[in-house]
Amino acid sequence: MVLAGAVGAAACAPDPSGTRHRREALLIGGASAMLPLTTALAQALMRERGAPAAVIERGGSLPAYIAASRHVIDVAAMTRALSDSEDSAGAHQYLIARGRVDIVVNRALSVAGLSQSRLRALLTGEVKHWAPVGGPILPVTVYVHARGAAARACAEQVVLDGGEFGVDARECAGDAKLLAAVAADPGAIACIDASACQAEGSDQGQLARLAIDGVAASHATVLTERYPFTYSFYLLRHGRPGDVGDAFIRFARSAAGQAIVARLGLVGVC
Amino acid sequence: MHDAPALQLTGSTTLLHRMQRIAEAYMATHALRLVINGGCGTMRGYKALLDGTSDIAMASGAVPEHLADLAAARGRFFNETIVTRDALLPLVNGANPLKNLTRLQLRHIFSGRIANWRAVGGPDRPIEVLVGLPTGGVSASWRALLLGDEDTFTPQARVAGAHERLAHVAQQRWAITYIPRMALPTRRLKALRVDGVADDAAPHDYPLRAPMMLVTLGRLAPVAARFIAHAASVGAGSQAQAGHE
Repeated sequence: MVLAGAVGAAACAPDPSGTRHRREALLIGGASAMLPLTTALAQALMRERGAPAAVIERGGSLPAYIAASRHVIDVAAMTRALSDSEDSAGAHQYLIARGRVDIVVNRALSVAGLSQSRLRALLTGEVKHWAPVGGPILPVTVYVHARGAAARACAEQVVLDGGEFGVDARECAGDAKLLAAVAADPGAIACIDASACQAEGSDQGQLARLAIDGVAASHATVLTERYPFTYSFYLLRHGRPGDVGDAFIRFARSAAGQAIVARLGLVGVC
Repeated sequence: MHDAPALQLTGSTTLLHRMQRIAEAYMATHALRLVINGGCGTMRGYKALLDGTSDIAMASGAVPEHLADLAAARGRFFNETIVTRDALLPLVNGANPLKNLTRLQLRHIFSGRIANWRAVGGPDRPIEVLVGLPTGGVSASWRALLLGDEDTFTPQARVAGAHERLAHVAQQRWAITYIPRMALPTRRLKALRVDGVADDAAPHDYPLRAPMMLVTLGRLAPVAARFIAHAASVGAGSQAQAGHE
């Protein structure tokens, strides 16, 4: 059984003698954005390899790093690389997947690329027309996912460094509606995860993907991380080789684990 | 392409942009995925090899002895392949009137024996020394080339990452730091000649040059060996071109 929810502290706390209780469950904590991937990996590991049940806790990369370093959980699922001070002797952080956020516009728009600073100015509403950023004399319409949607949070984190879209941005309920809106509006621009862009086949002919800082979004530029809106998923363990966390990470990096990465629309890196 | 074998590279920020370009060009003609995992510094690249979290370390400094010993104790050895050699440049503010320092003068400045520009022919101003983070390979190379085993950086030196050091030297007239040629910006900064030699005028005579390397641990997979050989050949080509210019 895979559970996404709170982890009972008593399930893994050391006893007064300092000896850890033997646990049946694999405990994973980490970033919300990684929940679909960690859940799918844990389910497959249970199904295919008879691994113990997993309990998956959301709460962010830093709390998960701290919990793993204190051996409170087995694996931390992180959306960022370790800092110099975090990369201590016991920390083993593995890159297991990549993804990217595409910047899409209507194909009729005569703009092939933007700098990051100009893009931010458009998305935050600071610039409201295409002409000042080298485009036609046309108002900019920013289309975004609904407030609270995971896709919007991801775009704000990856593209706007945690900032917010402008208040004039028009909300769309889901990927298909967002792409349809861009396809129908010559002045449109939107941020969408590449996996969603690939999954939604309709109106793709009406869309164009912008290069950012002169780098086109592609499989190769995501692998090398040159495309600026590339994001990475990591698994970290502080345990010893051979423990339950190590087995989970080895599975995530195996061909079977990487097939799950690809099935979720992410880019395999192992 | 999506099912091709994957190699992960991590380490030197100095080599990052160069390796990104080389990797993309290589992937266009070879069934291999080259995954570059950020620039976290040479020493962390070596740690990643020892941890087994990366396949290839990008390195701008030699393997430290204690890490080589640690690997040897596990029956494994680092394999270093030089992909290029880059000049390490002493860098000052554009308003600094000096144009040249000798290696001995640089050694005395970075070890703290000389603390005023007047001692090397400049104005009567204190020298502000900035050095890189201990995880950086360029700093390890700069220290090894200039100070050797007997000296250390002055305890007065300010320790900071490359971007912060460059920004500081661009603002402060009497600061000095170092930077590899491949990371040299142009604005408000000036690279000094060393022993009268400018690295861009006479690259092979310039005395402070460090190897930029791809490093692996233990037995090398054939796909990794082929890619590393390719990266070295690209580097050799660009070096030869620089020598003729």
